[in-house]
Amino acid sequence: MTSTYRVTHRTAYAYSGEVTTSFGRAHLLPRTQPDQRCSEARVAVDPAPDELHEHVDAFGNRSTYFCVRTPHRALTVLAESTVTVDRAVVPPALRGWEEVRDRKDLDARPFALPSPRLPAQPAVADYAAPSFPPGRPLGEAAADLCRRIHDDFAYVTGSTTVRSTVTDLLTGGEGVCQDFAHLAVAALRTRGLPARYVSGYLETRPPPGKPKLRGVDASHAWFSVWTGDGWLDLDPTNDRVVDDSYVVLAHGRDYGDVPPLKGVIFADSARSTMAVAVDLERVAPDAAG
Amino acid sequence: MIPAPYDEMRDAAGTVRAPWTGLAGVLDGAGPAGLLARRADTLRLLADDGVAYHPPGAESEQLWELDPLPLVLDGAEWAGLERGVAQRAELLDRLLADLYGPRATITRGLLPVEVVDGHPGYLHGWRRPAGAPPRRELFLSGADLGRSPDGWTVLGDRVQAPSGAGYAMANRRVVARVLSALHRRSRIRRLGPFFEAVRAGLQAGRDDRRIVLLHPGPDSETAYEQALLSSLLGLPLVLGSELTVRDGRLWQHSLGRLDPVDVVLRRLDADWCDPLDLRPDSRLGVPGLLEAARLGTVTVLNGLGAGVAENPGLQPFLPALCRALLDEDLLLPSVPTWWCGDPASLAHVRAHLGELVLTPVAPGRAPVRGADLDPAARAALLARIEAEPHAWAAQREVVLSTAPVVTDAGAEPRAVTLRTFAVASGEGWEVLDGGLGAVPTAGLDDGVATLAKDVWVVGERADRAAPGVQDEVLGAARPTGVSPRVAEDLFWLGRYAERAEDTARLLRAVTDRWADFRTSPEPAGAGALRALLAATSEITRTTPGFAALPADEDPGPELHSLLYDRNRPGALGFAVHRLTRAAQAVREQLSTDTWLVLGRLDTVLQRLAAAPEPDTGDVSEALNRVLEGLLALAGITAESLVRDDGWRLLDAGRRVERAQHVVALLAATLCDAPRGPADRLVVESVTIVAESVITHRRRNAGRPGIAPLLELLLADRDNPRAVAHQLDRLADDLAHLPGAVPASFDAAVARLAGADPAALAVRDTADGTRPALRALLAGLGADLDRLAEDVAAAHFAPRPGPHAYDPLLGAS
Repeated sequence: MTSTYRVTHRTAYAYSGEVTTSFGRAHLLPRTQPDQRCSEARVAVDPAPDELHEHVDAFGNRSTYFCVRTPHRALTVLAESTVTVDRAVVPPALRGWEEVRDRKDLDARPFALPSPRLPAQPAVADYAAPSFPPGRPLGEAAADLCRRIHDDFAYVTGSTTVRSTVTDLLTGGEGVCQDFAHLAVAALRTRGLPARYVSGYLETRPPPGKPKLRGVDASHAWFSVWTGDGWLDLDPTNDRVVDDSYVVLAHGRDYGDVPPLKGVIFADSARSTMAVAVDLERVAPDAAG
Repeated sequence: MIPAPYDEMRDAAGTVRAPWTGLAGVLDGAGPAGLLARRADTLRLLADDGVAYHPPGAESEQLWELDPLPLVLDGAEWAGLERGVAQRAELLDRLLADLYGPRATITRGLLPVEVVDGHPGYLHGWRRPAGAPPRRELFLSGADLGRSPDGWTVLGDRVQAPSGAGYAMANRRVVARVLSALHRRSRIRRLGPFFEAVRAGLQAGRDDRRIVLLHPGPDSETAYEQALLSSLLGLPLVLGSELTVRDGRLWQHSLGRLDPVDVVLRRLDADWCDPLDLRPDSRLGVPGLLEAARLGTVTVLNGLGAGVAENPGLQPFLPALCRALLDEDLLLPSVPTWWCGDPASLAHVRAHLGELVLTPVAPGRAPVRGADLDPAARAALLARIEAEPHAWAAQREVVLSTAPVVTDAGAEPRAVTLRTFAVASGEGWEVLDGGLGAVPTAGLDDGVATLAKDVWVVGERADRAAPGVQDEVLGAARPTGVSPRVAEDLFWLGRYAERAEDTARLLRAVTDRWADFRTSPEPAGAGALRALLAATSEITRTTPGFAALPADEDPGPELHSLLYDRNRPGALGFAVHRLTRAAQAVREQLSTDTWLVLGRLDTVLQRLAAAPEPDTGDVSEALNRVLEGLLALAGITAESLVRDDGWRLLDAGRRVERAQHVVALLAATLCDAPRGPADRLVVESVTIVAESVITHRRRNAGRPGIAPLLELLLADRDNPRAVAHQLDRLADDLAHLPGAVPASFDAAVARLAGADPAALAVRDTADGTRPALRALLAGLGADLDRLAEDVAAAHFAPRPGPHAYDPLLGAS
């Protein structure tokens, strides 16, 4: 099924003191891949940046660098894009998970390794074990893992930070989509299976009969597992297969490869507050131009 | 069975090998006492040169440890080693170019992807800039070698930011003097050409290329070496905070301007180089450096992703990689290594754990010797390895060769290792003719903290033209360009040097007065001593100090504390300590003679501190020695430094400090009500402290009152101790520095110009104090304090520090 979205992602920082220089790195423009086409995309920074360049990194993600040298107390980064998602229903991944593990497909293999935010941990291996009885088809095992994470952990906004670890989730029992995706990726890797962290958006639908409110959407994250034939994306936060309600921004080994926005500021006082507003507006395909 | 180690000096029959005959003669001739004397000479020369090392976690630097006996290698044998070292550098460079490019070594199955992507040194997401001219990822390469009974073996590669080439030069400069006769007689290859090759390689034939040496700061482990390299290579030594990325390229902050930078030779591990794209908690890096490198506007050497080539798990794959990438056989074998990510190797490791050293592939993690573990610990280690096999390598322990080392019991054979260095030069590599020898103490250490050895390669080489500059004088050039940090350190160097000198004179005068009073206790002497002690507390800003002591209390302990307490602001020891630290922070800016002086100063004060009850004679003598040293330092800064912006600030620091001292001295001694006969002695001491006794006597003999003294110390522009003279010098310094002359300076000049010594000398009829003098000195003191602040604000205003931001994922 094909869907076209107009995506608006605004991040606004307010600082308690004057910031003289701000360097930023953003992964806010949707990558182009077989099931997704990005027809129009830009990042705008206010105050006007002295520099802004974009490149495609080794993961194939669009990466934006900017630098603002106008002294400021507020910084806004606005990303706008038009994306057409054409995501067919994925055929069931029927190979046994051990077979996928033992294939050692070269392109996927690096994603089976631990990564900076997801070091190998016995607790994660223990958590993963029940989903991987011998011989179970990979698709079934991954779906089971996805469902268990959804059922076992409470989604609590603000319960964790960008620096939270999988251990925090396992011991605390609550987290957000980033934590759920991290746990799934780490769990798959303990079985020797290649898995990626995916950053993106999910279209939210208003309750029946109510209009959609603006700015209620948010950044989202899920996981992607190698099936031997391709990548299968699953969303443990909602226990769903990723379909055309999802827009992919970027993927990497973990969050650290693809933060939507990170930066370095030069300031005497660095206290800051941040507000994010995301809109996924469904538009007619021809609006994609 | 463990084979016997190879001995570098003697063959199996005990005969001295040919290249060692000279050194063996020295050993025989010197005897144990002679050897210990050589060791003492070595220590003294290391101290004189200030050769230091800062062990991780230690509060301050410690003296570099060096054995007087070099490791001697035959030139013909060296030729083979040299080829092997150069080949290895070339191989690793080609490998890195592939790993950050097409990754063909992985797709062709020459190298498991886990060895690369699973190593923390691999820079994920990084690709070599497309379209840029082909260039090297590896520029300076180090290799740790050991000679096993089967021959030379590579123990590990050092390609992140290899240290040690500078220490090799420091070793040579010391050993060449300790064994001067033998050094002159032997045909030892020089180290200098290597550093010239480094400089030429960085310049790459383009004189306009601006190059900097990026370092972690004066507190880093190898700060001494970084400063030495800076002067050997003639490159400015910069901190990350002195660089900035703007308009897509890298710039260096100098006083009043930005200079573009083309090449960064980094002594900072890659992780720390850019808080935007690498470690966000790094305060040592430059935000945007990776972006500038990606754009190709700056070359960072070694490449920011070079660390992956240090993976010990790479070793088993090098022979095949060498054939594939260079079409040559690998000349220098690596220590036998098993990468645990390979199932067959893991099986071998499991079966032979007790014979192997298990090494995590990530840098900075300690290896484990299997033989040291009991069965339970072995099982636990194996479980850790099997949970993450790609992250471990196992190596066979090398039976290292031995060479003579001076010990308390004479020369003893000890295991040695050798760190070699290669630098990219045109199409090939230039190898340092020698290296950093090391006597590992605990066995598995990295080597830097162990006892070092000079390495002599003996015998001319056929392919090199006549030797160039002598090693001893190479690097006399001082790098140009003064960063705000260097400017600040030089300013404080000037201030602390002057403060130490002024404090030493003050304490000497007080000590002499005290000694006089002890031998002839008269009321006038007692009054003068009391007045001077109180003045000393005020001038050094250590009040209440002596004033808090009861009249009959011994002033000795307080005086001693003011002499050598390095943690007490106002004390001489404090000023000397800060002076030394400021000098260490700008080591590359200073003449090497500086260390000779500073080392002696520290020794004198420490000896005094250690003395149980020094009498006034000892103290006076020690202060004379301290003053000698400080005068020598003043001579070095006056006669051996180029008059650039840095020197101007050093001089300005000295002038501000001296003017403040004179003002404080006069305020503390001449403004109060009359003290009767004691006053004559006080005034005499003031002229002594102000180093103006002779002039005062010659010019003003017979002129009563203090007006002539005030004229001499305040207004006389020709007296190098007068405030007016300091202002003249400051005017000159400020005129040469960028930016406007601060208003505080003009205020001081105007205030002094309006002063009349005769009027200042007048006492108040009611209380007998000198209010006009007190008011003038208070005003001048305030002007000078403000001037110091204005200079700081104009030239080294602290820039706000970087903070990382990394927003919460607002999630659905």
